[in-house]
Amino acid sequence: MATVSNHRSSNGPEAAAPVEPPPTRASGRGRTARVVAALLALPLLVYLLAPIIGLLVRTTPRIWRTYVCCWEAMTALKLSLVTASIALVVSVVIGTPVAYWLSHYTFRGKKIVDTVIDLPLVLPPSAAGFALLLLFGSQGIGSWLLQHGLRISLTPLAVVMAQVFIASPFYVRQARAGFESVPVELRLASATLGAGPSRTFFRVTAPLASDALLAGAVMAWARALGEFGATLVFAGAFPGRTETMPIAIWTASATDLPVSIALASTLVVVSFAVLLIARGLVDRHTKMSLATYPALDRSAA
Amino acid sequence: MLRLWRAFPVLLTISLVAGCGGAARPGTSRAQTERGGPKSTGPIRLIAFVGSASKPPASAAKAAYEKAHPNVSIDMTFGGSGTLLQQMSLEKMGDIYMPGSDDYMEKAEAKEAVIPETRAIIAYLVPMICVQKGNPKGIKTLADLAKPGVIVGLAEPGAVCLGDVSAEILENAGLLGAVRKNIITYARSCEQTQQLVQLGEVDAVIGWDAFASWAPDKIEVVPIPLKYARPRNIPAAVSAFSQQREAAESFIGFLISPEGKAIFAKYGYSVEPPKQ
Repeated sequence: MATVSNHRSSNGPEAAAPVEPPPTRASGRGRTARVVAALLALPLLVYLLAPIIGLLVRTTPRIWRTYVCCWEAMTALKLSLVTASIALVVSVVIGTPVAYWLSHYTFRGKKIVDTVIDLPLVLPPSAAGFALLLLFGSQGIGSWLLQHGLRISLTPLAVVMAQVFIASPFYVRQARAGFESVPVELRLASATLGAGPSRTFFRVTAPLASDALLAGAVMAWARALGEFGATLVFAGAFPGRTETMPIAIWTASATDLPVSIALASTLVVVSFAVLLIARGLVDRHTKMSLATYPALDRSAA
Repeated sequence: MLRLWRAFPVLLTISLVAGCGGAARPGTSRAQTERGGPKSTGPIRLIAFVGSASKPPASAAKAAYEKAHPNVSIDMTFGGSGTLLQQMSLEKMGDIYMPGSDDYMEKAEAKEAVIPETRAIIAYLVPMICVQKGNPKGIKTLADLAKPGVIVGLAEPGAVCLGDVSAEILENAGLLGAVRKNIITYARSCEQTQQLVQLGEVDAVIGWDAFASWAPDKIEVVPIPLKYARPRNIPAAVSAFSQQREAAESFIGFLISPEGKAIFAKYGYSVEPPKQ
């Protein structure tokens, strides 16, 4: 395994990604194994890719020009990108302490906390949306906030909150695995050399876990971008304010399937590009880590 | 590598700043929403909860109304009629409720979420048999739905208004049992019912006349005698939580004016009561 940590995590496509076999000599058996591995990987790849290609093929240039260029689609796309990015920042800021706490300390009820992190993954998003609406809407603490001039439900703020609720577990899971992968000796060495806990975290633990943190961030961002059910219920579908791309795709599908398909294709193309760039950054980062700390390259052992 | 790690917070800050910049615009409109007071002198912001199937004509009507009334802006949110009703009554907000069919308006009235006397009929929903373009199975009557080899989809009775209408029609025509063996699926919404034909999953559904105009190159309609079922309608009413009743009623008035009706007619809706 070439990376320090992130293949440990068990959820998300990160774990599903085919792991490259260790480089073998160009022996006949090695080559056969490589071909067999590729063939075995093929069914899932085709299954994942074919429907998306189907969407792209059905997006004719005419439909693309007529709708995707226009105000509503671009507004929805921009709103999606902005809210997903804010949701990511929030998830990183409030998720990193949780991940660190879970990875480094044992305490009573740890399993329960651990499971709490998984709850948003099992809760159907629209149920999550109603839960948020009841808590932060005027039936819950929203009425108090409203008296102080802040409305949360059915506003862009609710879009971000729904995304954080649904997407942050993806970041926390990966980040936790990343922190756990940092050899305890390195942290102890850092402490022995006089670094305080926060210096050790920022100069040793976080840098060594950084590719897992980045991979988790990418996952969380992607999940936030695709969030639909919770957003629709909690934030509504106001064009220009809370109508993100997935919601625009859904409302368009009610009456105009071709437009819906064109919007979906746009979202796929844009997110594919962003994810590819992000993964490129993660990979480059990993290579740099390995160049700096060759001892961490477990595949060399 | 340490250098790159140090760059990470910087990148985050940049995206945060960029994000806040981007969010400022929607944030402003939220503030404006709250400021829109009941007085008709200043700018008025109405919030409308609109069934997602009505999005195209409702958006066009909104644009026309805002053009004629520059001090009024209408924020519309779209969704399933039931979800919208929940949102509106849980949040005790909104000015106009415009569900996809009248049965949701009954529910809204029962929940006292709308002002009953402000209720108006925007368009009529006339049940029709919706078939693939060109009618390849030659479906001419309700009885043809029971013919062997015809694949039928229905909206789910009890779950969606169109489902109740479909069941009512087949029962009144004495065909419920005969058609049932051809039904391969029940759809959970009007939109889904229409998509069954549009995507070629079934040969026919019982749908609304307006379906044909949603996908004119995929769907055509075959009339059903009106004696089998009463037509439904798309209603609108002022929300019981509205503090701008006058402005909200003015918009509903526009929807049922000749100009408003013309917009709905342009999108394929029957705006006059159907005649036998």
